[in-house]
Amino acid sequence: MSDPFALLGLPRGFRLDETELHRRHLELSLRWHPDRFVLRPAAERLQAEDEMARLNQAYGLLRDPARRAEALLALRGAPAGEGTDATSSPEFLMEMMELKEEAAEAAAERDRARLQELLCGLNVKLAQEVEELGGALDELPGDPVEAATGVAAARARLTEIAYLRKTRETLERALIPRA
Amino acid sequence: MAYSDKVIDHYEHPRNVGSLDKAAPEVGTGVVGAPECGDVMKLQIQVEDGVIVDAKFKTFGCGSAIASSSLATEWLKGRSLDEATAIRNSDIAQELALPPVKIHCSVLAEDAIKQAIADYQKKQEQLAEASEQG
Repeated sequence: MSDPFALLGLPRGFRLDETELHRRHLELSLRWHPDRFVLRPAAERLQAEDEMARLNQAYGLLRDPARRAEALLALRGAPAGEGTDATSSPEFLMEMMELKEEAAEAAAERDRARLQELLCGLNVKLAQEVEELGGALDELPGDPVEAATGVAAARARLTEIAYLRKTRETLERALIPRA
Repeated sequence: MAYSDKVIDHYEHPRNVGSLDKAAPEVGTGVVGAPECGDVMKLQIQVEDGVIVDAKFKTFGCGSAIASSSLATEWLKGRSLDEATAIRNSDIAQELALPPVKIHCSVLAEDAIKQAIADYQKKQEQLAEASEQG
């Protein structure tokens, strides 16, 4: 994958200067915005569209802490595993199942108070998980062999975060008032 | 991408949704997840004399994941454990006409079946050991 940090001219790491991220994105957007290429030759117009798309993708990736962690792991050669989760224990998956069942139950009953309580708890847990993961990512040694154990642990953590985020979506959707 | 009629049918009228007693010795439980999308699937079988007499599932995921597990429970009922082990994800994918991007949903279902069978067999072995010692 291309390096979103390099694209936006930022140092590679979980902790980043958000003001700087927004500023860089704005600056580069002004340079590549297709509106500025309307009167240019077709090849240049296409290039501008391409640059703009890559820029927005990188920006979206870096703005979201969990996706930023994902990008860092992919850059270390540990992208998200495809297919069935082979690393999580059955006990942990059962725990995730029960959490999702609880969320689905509250959603089915349209129990807003319960939904909000669950969502709040989940948001706190997610923020904490992402924060801890970020800290661990920034402390990984540069050497791939030395970092291997840490990278595997970070991958496992990000898997848990994926389950939690999906559960959060369920809760959030259930909280949207129906017409 | 459009879902096939069979996927929509299973999605709108899922068969065998629910839970069996996971502590019961005649029940095998398989729980699998897909880290990429955060989906989780639980599939349970109840076995009597080597034959699956009941199967239930609960899936939190997309339409294809729900349809794959719903179809799997339909196919499992009445099969022997050996016959159940022979179910391949490609059979599920073909029956539901899953597009390539949704093949992993059928893989999830196959893995859930395997885990449920393995869980049941482990329980039976432990029971056999316990009765030998007792």
